[in-house]
Amino acid sequence: MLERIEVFIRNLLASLQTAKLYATSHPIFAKSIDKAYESLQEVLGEREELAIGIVGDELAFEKEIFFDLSKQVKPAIAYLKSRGIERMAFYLGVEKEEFVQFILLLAAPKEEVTADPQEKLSAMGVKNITVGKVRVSPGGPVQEKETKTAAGIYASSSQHVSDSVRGVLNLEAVDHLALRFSINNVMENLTTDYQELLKLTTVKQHDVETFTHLLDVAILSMYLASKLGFAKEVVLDIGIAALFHDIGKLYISRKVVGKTQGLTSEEFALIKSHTVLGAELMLTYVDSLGILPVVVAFEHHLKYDLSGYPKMRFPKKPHLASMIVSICDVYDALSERRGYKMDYPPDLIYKIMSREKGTGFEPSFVDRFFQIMGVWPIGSIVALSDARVAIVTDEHEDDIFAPKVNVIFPEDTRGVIDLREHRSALKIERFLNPWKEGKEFLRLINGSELKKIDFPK
Amino acid sequence: MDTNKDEAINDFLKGLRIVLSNASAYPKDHPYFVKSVEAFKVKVDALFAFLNPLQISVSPDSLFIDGRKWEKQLVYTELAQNFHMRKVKGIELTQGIGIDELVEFLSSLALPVRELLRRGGIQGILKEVRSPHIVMEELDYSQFLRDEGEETKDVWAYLFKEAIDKRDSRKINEFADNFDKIIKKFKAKDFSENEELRDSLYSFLSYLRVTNKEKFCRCAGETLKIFLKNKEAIYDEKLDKIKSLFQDLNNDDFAGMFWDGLLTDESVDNLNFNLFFQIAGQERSKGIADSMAAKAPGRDVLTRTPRVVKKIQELMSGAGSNQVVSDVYRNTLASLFKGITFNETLSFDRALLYDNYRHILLNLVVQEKHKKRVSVIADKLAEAWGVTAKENGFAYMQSLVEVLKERKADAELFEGLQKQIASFLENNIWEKETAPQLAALAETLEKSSQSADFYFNKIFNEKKITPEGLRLFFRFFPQQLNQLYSYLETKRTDMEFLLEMVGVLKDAEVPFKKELLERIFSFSNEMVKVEALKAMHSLPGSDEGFLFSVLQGESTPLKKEALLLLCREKQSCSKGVDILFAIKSHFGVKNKILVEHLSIIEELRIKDAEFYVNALSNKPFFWNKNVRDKAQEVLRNWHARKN
Repeated sequence: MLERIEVFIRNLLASLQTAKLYATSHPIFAKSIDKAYESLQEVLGEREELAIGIVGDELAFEKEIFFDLSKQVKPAIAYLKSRGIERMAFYLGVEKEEFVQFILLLAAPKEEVTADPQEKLSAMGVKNITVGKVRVSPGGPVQEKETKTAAGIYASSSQHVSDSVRGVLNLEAVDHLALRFSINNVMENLTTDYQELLKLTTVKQHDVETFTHLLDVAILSMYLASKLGFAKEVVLDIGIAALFHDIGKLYISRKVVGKTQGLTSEEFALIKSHTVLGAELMLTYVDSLGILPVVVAFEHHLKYDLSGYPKMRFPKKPHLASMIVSICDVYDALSERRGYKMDYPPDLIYKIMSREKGTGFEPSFVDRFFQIMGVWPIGSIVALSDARVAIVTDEHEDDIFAPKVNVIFPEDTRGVIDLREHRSALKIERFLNPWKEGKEFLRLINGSELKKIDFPK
Repeated sequence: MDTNKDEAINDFLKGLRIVLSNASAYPKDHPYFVKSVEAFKVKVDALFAFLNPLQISVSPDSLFIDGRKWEKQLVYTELAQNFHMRKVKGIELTQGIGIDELVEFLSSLALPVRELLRRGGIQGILKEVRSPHIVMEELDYSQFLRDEGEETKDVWAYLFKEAIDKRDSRKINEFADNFDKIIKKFKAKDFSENEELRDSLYSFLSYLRVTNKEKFCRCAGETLKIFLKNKEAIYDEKLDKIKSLFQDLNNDDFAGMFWDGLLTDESVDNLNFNLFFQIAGQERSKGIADSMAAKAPGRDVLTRTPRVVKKIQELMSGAGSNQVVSDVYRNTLASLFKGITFNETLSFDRALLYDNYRHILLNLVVQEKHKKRVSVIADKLAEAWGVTAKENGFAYMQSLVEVLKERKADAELFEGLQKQIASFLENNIWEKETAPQLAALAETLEKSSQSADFYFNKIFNEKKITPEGLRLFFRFFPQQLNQLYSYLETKRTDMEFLLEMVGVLKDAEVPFKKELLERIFSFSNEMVKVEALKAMHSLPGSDEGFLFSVLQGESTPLKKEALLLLCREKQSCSKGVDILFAIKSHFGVKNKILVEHLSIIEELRIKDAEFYVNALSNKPFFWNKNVRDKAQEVLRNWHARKN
């Protein structure tokens, strides 16, 4: 199927090119239209609708993004985007004449198409083809301004994740294209502005209702996956799977999830069943989101030594993607403030997780995780051994205890210090909890993007 | 006139089929065979009235005579296949052909393929005898590139030999150019078990080594790859013989093949590598290891896929094999992978992901009680079946079948999946080397996805006969037994098929085994009958009525087999002996029969017949002399053995 769709996209873009070069009466134009229409019919022979989207700079269909094809037709994608077309849907029953009209609309000089492309298409009598933008929020099209900053991306993605998760919980269809768009945005930002995004996952208060934990795990997982050198599409897949890893838990009574006191054995069993519930829930979205969300939802509490849950009659070692989400889930859970536990400083988290080597996690995988994340994660407010206060800005893979920091207090000593270069003289003494002793230093953090999110008041 | 000619051709071909069957069953001087050749010569001579010379052209499944294709009938296709496999492209017979010529010609044609080719092919044999009225044309090797199946291997062994013996450089080069296609038809054990093949191949490679180094390396490499795919243990004495094939490969050749196998062939495992290193030889390990290090791909290539890393790790640890690779190789590999940690080798494996997904589906379905959710899982299991089938994942299939059995109450939800599984199994149980796991899975099938015609087609048209196939047929279509018998009878002249069927019945537990064997016995020639009786040893009891009727017949070999069967039980044995010796008037031809029966009981040492032997040894009349002498001889021999 995907091959046919790819063939159709190529033929469609070829027709567009031909339409720009030849008159409609020219046999070459007719031939290219025939070819494209024929390949469309082949696709529609197996489905009622074909929706192609442009996610970032990539062409996408359902859960697939055509990375290679997109590279080859980059100018055509830019051309379509410049016409305000990010989504094209073709429906079963589309007439050849409608298709010709559609191509002509695309090929027309920009100045001739002043109206909204969809309105224009409707005015031309085309009913079985629709065009428009990819929605990223229920309210309307992408807000350019909002998505420019890491905080904006975080906020926008968080909103969209909430919508998607609620959609799944209500067993409604998920706008997977828009979801991919959102996550793709996060992913692209990870490569250019990863410190800022990671700060956002590090310094904020979690809340089950707003599903920020899901987004944070997704961001951490994508970051880890990209640092492990995975291909772009794999990182994206992992991000989406991570978003839904705890979907089963949201099915369970909030009372149990948010409970502060000890759980009864029934409640504990119910909590444990969330992996099974989650996997079953995601099974109904395999066609649009793929199998990875099922696998991750099921396996993310399975341990390296196959202890953990759910208990399996047909045991299988968790997949690497599940291991990634699992370690990020544990890390994020230990980092966040929850009703049933105190905040843990990062060095304690490192110790706790290191104890799980060989049982909870594959030993060298834990090492690799901390090589990438550092013991003191980006965004941590820390007290240095010389009594100054700094915020962690970058990590060193070869020295996980000595990151780069930006001194914020005393204010007259501001500046970047690479602790690796001052190994014997200067080190991080302790973590300053931004909801407690670190709170007073938040105002000193430059950039102020952090202020846009849910900091402790 | 034309109709008469066609009839004459048809008679000739039918006669040819029969006489070839006899030629394969009897030695060439056996009177029965000579008699059938005489009968055939009448048909040949009758045809000469229309066609002289008589020219027959052969294609793999049809014959061409007198400007017409003779095809689509069993007799024609079988003859064509028979000739084709024996490398016969054309035959020309001219008037005046004698019985002796025909006897030589037919008995040569009926030789097993391997034997025929070993003796230089039909032309080679006919050259040794005078056959002025027969001209043969042999097939070019290239015809065989398209063929598959066991027998073509024999042809290739011969073709190699022929080309080398004749030092036919054109042919040798053509072989070398098509070597990859040819060698794929073989398995490692073919070389370890077939000395001729090994010798031919060795000569072939040796010739290439001297004449064309590049082709030699390529062909030897292709051959070695066959061993890299080998999963069976090869014992030391055979290994020495195989090693000789590759003794002229240099260290770089071995090293190149090692990396090639490691990086490109997913099926290669530790067992294969162990064999590979054994073939390379301990004495050369240092040189090969050095070359491996020199030829090693970059670290990025080595660590890009977890499969490669896993294989290297296994190779170094000896996992999956009962032997650990020698220190020389291990040290080389260890030095190449020094410093490469798990970190560098993490990779997103989609195949593994799908495998986990399928197992998750299983784990979900075993515990889910909610019918709607079970339905969703069932659909996904059905969707995933294609991959399972493609991968031949038997362990997974077994688990799946086990789960489906437990979920019988929800059978309607799994109907589609059950059908897919049944279809897969019913289509894959027809190979000789059906995996035991597959056979075991087939045993669990409760419903067929096919019709009886599917089975008839497999058995009688495709000639695929396996115990599993027969068992499934009888499980699902017992009411079609008579139809099966009818099809079976259409194969009455196809000795190869019948022997195959009898062979399968002999070794396997199949319903209606007795009935099938007796049915085959009822219409086949003596050779098949003997095999059918031998196969009846695998039946728990003896069908006295049937076996007694055989004893009352005329064929000594059949009587011998029947008595042997009866003598598995004392009472039946006595009754059988009574039948053999209850001949009232000991005159003339009956004396001859008695002598034959005495030979039978002597050979089988049937002591229950002692009473009769004693009685016959004392017959006073001169016309019973032969019987008396034989009986006395039997007694002497028995006593001698006893002492």
